[in-house]
Amino acid sequence: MDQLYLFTGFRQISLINNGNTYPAPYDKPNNLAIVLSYRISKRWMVSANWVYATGNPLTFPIGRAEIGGKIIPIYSDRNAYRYQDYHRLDISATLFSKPKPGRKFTWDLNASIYNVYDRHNTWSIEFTQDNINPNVTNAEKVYLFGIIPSLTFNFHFNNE
Amino acid sequence: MNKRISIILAIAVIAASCTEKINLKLDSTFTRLVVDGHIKSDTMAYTINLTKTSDYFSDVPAPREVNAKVSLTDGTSTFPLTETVPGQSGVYQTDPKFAGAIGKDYTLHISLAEVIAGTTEYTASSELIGVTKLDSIQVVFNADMGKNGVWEVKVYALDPPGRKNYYMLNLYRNNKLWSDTITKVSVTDNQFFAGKYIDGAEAFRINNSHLWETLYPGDTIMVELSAITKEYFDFINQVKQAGFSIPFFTGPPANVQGNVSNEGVGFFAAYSSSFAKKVIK
Repeated sequence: MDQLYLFTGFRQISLINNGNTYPAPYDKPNNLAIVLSYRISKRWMVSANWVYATGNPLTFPIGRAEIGGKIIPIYSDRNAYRYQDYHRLDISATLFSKPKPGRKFTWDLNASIYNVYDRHNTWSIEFTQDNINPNVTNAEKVYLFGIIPSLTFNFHFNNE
Repeated sequence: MNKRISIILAIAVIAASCTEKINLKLDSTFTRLVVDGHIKSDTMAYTINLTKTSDYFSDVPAPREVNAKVSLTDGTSTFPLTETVPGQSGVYQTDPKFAGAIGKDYTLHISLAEVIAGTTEYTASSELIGVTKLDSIQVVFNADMGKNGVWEVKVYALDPPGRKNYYMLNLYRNNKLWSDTITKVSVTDNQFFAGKYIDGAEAFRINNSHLWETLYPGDTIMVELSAITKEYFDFINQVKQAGFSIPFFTGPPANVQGNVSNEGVGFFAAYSSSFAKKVIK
């Protein structure tokens, strides 16, 4: 995907990263959103939404030292790594009420699924020392939302 | 009732599933020498530990750096250190009759048997600062703090006026070091005392809920007050904060800065200490 990096942000600050350039913390070279919406009939509408973005840059420890009984991380160059790419598919279907002239209200019922293929997009990464063997370090990722189905009922009063 | 339990279970499963173990592949970095040790003004054998850095996921204790030639100088005299188990321990000790002199600058010279980070020669220097007398300590039980109360250890001493002072405090319980990892050690500068009498500043808190550390009548508590350099004070603070996390809205972390030359990691410290004891009634 490297050839798609058209616009990408770098920083260069003399006291950081030994004066070398490094990716800006919010650098997202690729960011794509595809939205499809289709009215099947007067009463039905379906839509889908797919988003994709390059993972944000981050700094990982790549070495360790033991000092005073504690493990001290030794870090990589600033922002030398990236999170996994972020992507997600949402779908929804909406049923509208029968259009009837003179009715005081209309309604619609929406069923949707957020993150259809239940991708665990990384929110942050943590390292924990193992409870049994303190020499062992485990990596854990925190993600926010897996697959979330939802149902919405909307009710509108007509003003005329 | 069953329905309620299943709802609680469902919420618990959803909440817990937000963290999962991952297999992360990280690169390696070049090996660095790690120095960990100190000398003081009391007469005894002092220990310098030499180890090497390893990969972040190496999952074994730090490899020892053996067969090095280690010595200390104060500008005029040289004091050799010997490896406790030659070729195995990576632990180097001074003569048992060694004592640092207050006001002198000590330099640790390390000549390695192998090349690390492109060199075999390392140095680390520290001034040995004289400490004020720790007059006394108080151990007070505060029943209002925490679930089962907290033991507060308070110190009384005169902060020498006319200069910036940095202190390190260690706690001993029945002559056994309680502050046995660097994260349990207390450090402070003299911002709040600034040449005045330190009248019962709280140095340690012992949580009475922790059965492994709570105090009983007859226990002896001893505090060691040490005068340290600003560099060592900064180093301990950095080590205390050094854990890996990616905080939101703040910059990425930086490496801990020690006083070892040639990109070595760790610290060689020199300081002097004053002690005070108290028996719990």
